Order: sequence, then structure tokens, then C-alpha cells
Amino acid sequence: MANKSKRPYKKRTVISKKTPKNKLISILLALIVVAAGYYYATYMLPDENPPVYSANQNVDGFYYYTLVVVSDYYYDANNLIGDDLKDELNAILNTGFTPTSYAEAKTYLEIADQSLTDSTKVYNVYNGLLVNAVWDSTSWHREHIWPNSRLGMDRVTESNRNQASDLHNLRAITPSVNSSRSDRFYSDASGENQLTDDGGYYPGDDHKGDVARIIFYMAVMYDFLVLTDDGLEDESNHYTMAGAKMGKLTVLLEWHKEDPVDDFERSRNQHIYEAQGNRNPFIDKPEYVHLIWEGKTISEITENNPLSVMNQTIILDLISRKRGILNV
Amino acid sequence: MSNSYKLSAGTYFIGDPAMMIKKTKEGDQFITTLWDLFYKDMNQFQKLVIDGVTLFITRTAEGDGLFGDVGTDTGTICIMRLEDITKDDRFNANAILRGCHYINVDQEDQVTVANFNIRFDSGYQVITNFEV
Repeated sequence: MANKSKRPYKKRTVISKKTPKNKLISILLALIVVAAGYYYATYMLPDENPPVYSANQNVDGFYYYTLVVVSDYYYDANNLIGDDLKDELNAILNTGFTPTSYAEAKTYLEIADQSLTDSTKVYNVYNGLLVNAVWDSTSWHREHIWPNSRLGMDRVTESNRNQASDLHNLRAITPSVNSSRSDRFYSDASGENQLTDDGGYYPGDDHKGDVARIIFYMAVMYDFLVLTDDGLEDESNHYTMAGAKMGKLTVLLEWHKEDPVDDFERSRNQHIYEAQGNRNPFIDKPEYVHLIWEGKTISEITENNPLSVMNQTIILDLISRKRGILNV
Repeated sequence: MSNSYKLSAGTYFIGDPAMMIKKTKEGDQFITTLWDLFYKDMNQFQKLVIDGVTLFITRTAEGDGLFGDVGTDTGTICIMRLEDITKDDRFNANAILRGCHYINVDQEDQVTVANFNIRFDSGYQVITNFEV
């Protein structure tokens, strides 16, 4: 027994000897363990709050592509991608467009921004407050989602009809929140609306997708407006064409996926269509965003089911050709 | 309702506070304090002194917009004497900013805001309320 207990004791003595070589090995081992732990926590563990995508999005958040029928508002955009799609959408949006004046906008916003749960209230952007819909000049003001100072104009009047009075870009807002957001570009954070350290603004988890789709609409409707990640901090060129830029594009693309199109946006889009004669395509066809700004092809975002794009095209063509015979 | 303030000699910036106040940590602290004070009574044309800096501020009648040559994304317009802030790093006082207006007051001027319309006795005005 005595012999057996001696040997392990000797071994322990040798191991615990703190030579410089052993110290170095211990430090290296500790570093490897920490690095492995960090890698595992960062890349291997599932996200605590994974984004919740809608039924028409794939596992990476991309919206599935679908074609539209001949009579559809977006028919001429079928099968287009990239700049061709952007240019065609610009043509579609400008056809039948009857802009309102900035003075008239508040009357239209009383209806367009109406809460879906209480028709006497409007739903204020960023903080989600429901306030009296009827204009009283204190409950809500008009917010330019693409800021007024970044629209490339240096002078307008209340009766002007231009990019500053486009209803899609205007939202009802609590006046103090309007002041806080000011002319800031959008930048990432999480939770409630807040200023970000890089001089930007986070619109809040429930509003980020809405503002992204409005910004995308503006970049297509007014082709001189630039959507970018760069140079947004420079305010010296506000109210000039050189300063007509907004972003951050990469952040907006993620928000578009993480906060999918909702019923409020659809209702608002329809009201504005009735008021000024054009629609926000990124609410109706959210997949167009991937085709214009993310370099995706149609096949990459087509749902893998028997009704492939090829089949859809054939069916739609058949419907178009047989329309007279079938009277559909 | 109207409110008037005397302006001493100097060069004055008339525009969106967000244009004049830099978006730095110190600037953000200043403008956050500004909003906290201003929104205690958003319907008044106010004279505020924050960290020794004096400014005059009113809201517009309806929020964001371009009113003549003055634009705002904060729904407010402020008046600041440049000589007071040229050495203060929180402000863009040394740049000529777009969407803003500058006036020189030789001896003394008076600014009045009535129904969210700004009028200087010397003649310049910013009309934000078209319904009066």
C-alpha cells in the first residue's frame, strides 16, 4: 500500500514544477481553449433570437420569386433582374402617377397611416404610438423617411409636387421623435428606436422593415437618389444633388428580411395607390429587392416546388393566349 | 400666440439645429438636452441656454419641410449667434451650411414668432404656417 501511494505523489510533484517551458505550454493551452470557446459561441451555437421569417421567405430570409399575370400592375417587370428591373419599375411607378402637394399630404396621411385596430387613430412611425388621426398639428407631424435634406433640393414651396411630397415617403410621427431622428441615416441596433454611435438612427425592431421598403421605393422612383453605405456622415452637401444619398444599404437589406411586410404596410400601400396612382413594389413584390440590390438571379430565389418559373411562364402564356377562347 | 426676443449684433444662423449641432458624442448630448427642454412646451418660441450656449427655437407648423430657403428634418428651426459658438467643437459654426439662412445684425434686431412663422424686424421671414 505504502509503495503504491508513493509513486503517484512523485508524479504530481514533477507535473506541478513550474518551469518556464511548462508555463508557456499552460498559457498556450489556455489560449487555445479560449479561442475554441469563442469560435464555438460565435459560429456554432444557434442564435438566441433567430429572425422570424414569413411563409414566403426561404431559410436565409430571401423572399420567393413569383411571376404575375398579364393584367397585373407589375406584368412588364416579369423575368427582369438588376438594372433592367429597376428601370422597368421606374417606368411603371411613373405611369399614372399624380403627385399630391406637401400641403395636401397630411389629409391623405390621416387615412393612409390609420391604425388597423382603431380607425380614429394614426400609427406613428418609430415609437408605434396611436394618436388622434384628425390633424391638430401636435399629435403627429409628417416625417420624411428619406430625409428632406437628402432629397437633392434646396428650395420648394408648400404647393410644390415633387420627391418631398411623395406620400410613400411620408409617415405620421410623434413630433419629439421626429426631432430626435432628424436627418440621420439608418444604422443597426436592436430593440426600441434610438440614436446610434455612428451618427445614425435605429427605427426600432417593428419599424425597420417598413422604412427599408420605403427607402427602396424612393431609390427606384427617383433615379437620382443614391442608396449606399458610404459618405452618409458628410452633411456639408445636404440640400444639394451631391448629398442626395441614403443608407446604409447593407443594413436596410437585412431589415427587409428580418421585418417582413405586414398588413399595415399593405393597407397603406393601397390607400396611397388610390391617392397618387402608384404603388410601392417592395411591399407587393418584396423579392424584387434581391434582384436589384443583391445580385440574385430568379432561379436562386424561386421556391423549389413543381411550379417552377419555367412552368409558371408556360402557364401564364397559355392563359394569355387562350384568354379569348377560354374567356378568362 | 406670439413671442419676441431681441438679438444683439452679430451673424446669426437660422436653420435646423440638426445641421448646426454635430453628430458626435458631445453634440448628441447637447441636442438631447435641447429636445428635453424644448418639448416641455413645444408650442412656444423659446430662448434656451444650454451649457452656456444661447439659442432661440420654434417648431414649424406641421413638421419637416423646406420653407423658402430654410429646411428642417427635425420639425424645428433655431436661431444661433455664430460668434458664440465658433470655438465650440460641438457645432458646425465655421462651415456655410446649405438649407439654412444667415443674417448679419449690425446693431440690434428683434425676432418674433407668431403661429410658427418667424419674422425679423429687419425684414427676413420664414413662413411655415400657410393657413393664417
